[in-house]
Amino acid sequence: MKRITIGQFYPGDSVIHKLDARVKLLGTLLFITALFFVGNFSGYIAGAVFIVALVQMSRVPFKLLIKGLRSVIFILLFAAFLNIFLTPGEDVVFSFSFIRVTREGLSMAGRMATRLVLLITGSSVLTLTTSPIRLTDAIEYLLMPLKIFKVPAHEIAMMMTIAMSSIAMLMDETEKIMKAQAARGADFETGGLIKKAKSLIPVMVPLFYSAFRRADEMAAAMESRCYRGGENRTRLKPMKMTGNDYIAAVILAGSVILILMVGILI
Amino acid sequence: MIVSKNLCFTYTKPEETSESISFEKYSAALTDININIKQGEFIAILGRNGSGKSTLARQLNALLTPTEGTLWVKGLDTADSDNTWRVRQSLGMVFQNPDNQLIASIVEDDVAFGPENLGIPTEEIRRRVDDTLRTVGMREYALDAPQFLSGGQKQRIAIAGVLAMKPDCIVLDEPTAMLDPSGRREVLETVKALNRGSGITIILITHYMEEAATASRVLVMDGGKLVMDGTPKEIFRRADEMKALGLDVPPVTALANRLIEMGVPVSDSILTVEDFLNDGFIQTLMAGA
Ligand SMILES: Nc1ncnc2c1ncn2[C@@H]1O[C@H](COP(=O)(O)OP(=O)(O)O)[C@@H](O)[C@H]1O
Ligand SMILES: [Mg+2]
Repeated sequence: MKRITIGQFYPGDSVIHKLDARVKLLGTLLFITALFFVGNFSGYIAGAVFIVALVQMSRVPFKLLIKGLRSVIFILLFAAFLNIFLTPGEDVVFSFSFIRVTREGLSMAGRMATRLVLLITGSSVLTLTTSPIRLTDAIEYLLMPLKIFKVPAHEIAMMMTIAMSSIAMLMDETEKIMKAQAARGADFETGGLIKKAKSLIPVMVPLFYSAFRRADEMAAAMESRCYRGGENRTRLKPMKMTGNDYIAAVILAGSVILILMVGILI
Repeated sequence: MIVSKNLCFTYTKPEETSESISFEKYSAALTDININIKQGEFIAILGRNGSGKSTLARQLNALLTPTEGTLWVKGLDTADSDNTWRVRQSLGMVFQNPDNQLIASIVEDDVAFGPENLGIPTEEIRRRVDDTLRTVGMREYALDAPQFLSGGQKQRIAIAGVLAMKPDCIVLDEPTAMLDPSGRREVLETVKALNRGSGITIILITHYMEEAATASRVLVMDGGKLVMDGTPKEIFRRADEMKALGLDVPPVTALANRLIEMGVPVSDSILTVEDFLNDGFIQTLMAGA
């Protein structure tokens, strides 16, 4: 079975899957915004509970979320380290020549890392439970007001969908090429940074080739199926807000406000 | 259904200088193609790599238009841009790489992509999606992600996606080239059933002679020209000419041709293993054994 990467759709028929994509998208944006105002750990715990509850309801295996996190672990660690060393503070916990680790730095790093984890898992819940086509529709809908400024809402949304579906395919392709080159004696493991970078050239060239070929073939396939932008398109599943969607929207908004209150007041 | 008159095509590359844009021409990809394909035919197109098969397929779908001559699909001139969408609706394309032609990440959304572009009402799209998925035997995979399906299944979904636009003709450009034998069989059987059951014209570009042997007519291309046009029997009898064009005949036909050379009185129109086993001489031979 193929590897699942972040942002990949996990089909299902849970309440979360069925929820209107616009509600989910707005809810996610709201949640992410709220995270930036939450400064204490009780707020983060509230946020984590919120995500765990959503994942439970969506019946998406938890390990998919964990796997998604694993692929961004470096960014997480990097952000945390920067915060540890660059945050000015008085309360020195540990120092070694010019390196000073302060209580403020540690707490800032902890908050930053938690925030990132919540941000990534929160948006993964959205992309795991929403098919890219639905997500496109939702993005297009939310960008609609910008159409008066001649922003090509449909085209932007379509590009995002295709980019997302291509990530998985390109990762598979990279793995295939690396294996093929390794079988020919390529060495990706040893040597300094420059040598390692050089050893990636035989991977990048075929990868670019296959990415461009994919773009070309996909464009032909879309055109041959009469794709001509967003105009006059109908939908197999038109977006329609049902009673449940309104209730869910209220519950989502309520939960985010609750998280904010916990995060700011307690 | 499809008629062309002296169809020629040359790829061009825009050459941009500071003052003007000129077009550098490559050598001709198609030269003086005259074809006449009727509704309900099952056509196989053969030819070595670079002989112009894909270029011709793209012409039929108005992805490319003739640089000289004319091509009519259902009486519509493909060079007229007012006709482009009607041509593409009535003549669908299935491409070689199953991964690069599925647009959506759920099977039924992908099948719906074409009808959605055509502006078909929602209930009708639903009906078409369900019907076509049943036709290709993929109904129970409607809610799956295509990336987890086999190559043969992906190609059947691509066929369903084209069928949902209710075309009169489907052009398949080497749809089985990246598949394993069982995937090839799945795709070929689906296509044959469509041709027989619904009278849909099939144009199958292939490298597999066994597939071409089951067509009602075979076109052979070489160097951008149409060099042979006839029934599989007529074409595969000319094994030497085929070899000169870099093509084989089906293995069992090659065997029969060798037997004839050696003086064994088998029929000269054997295309499949069944033909061979049903041959009068082979039958008597087996009865004697
Ligand atoms: N996009 C293109 N630009 C320039 N030349 C092309 C292009 N595509 C194909 N050709 C050339 O046109 C000829 C026919 O190619 P093609 O139709 O792909 O053949 P086939 O499908 O039979 O292998 C070849 O010589 C090929 O190099
Ligand atoms: Mg080709």
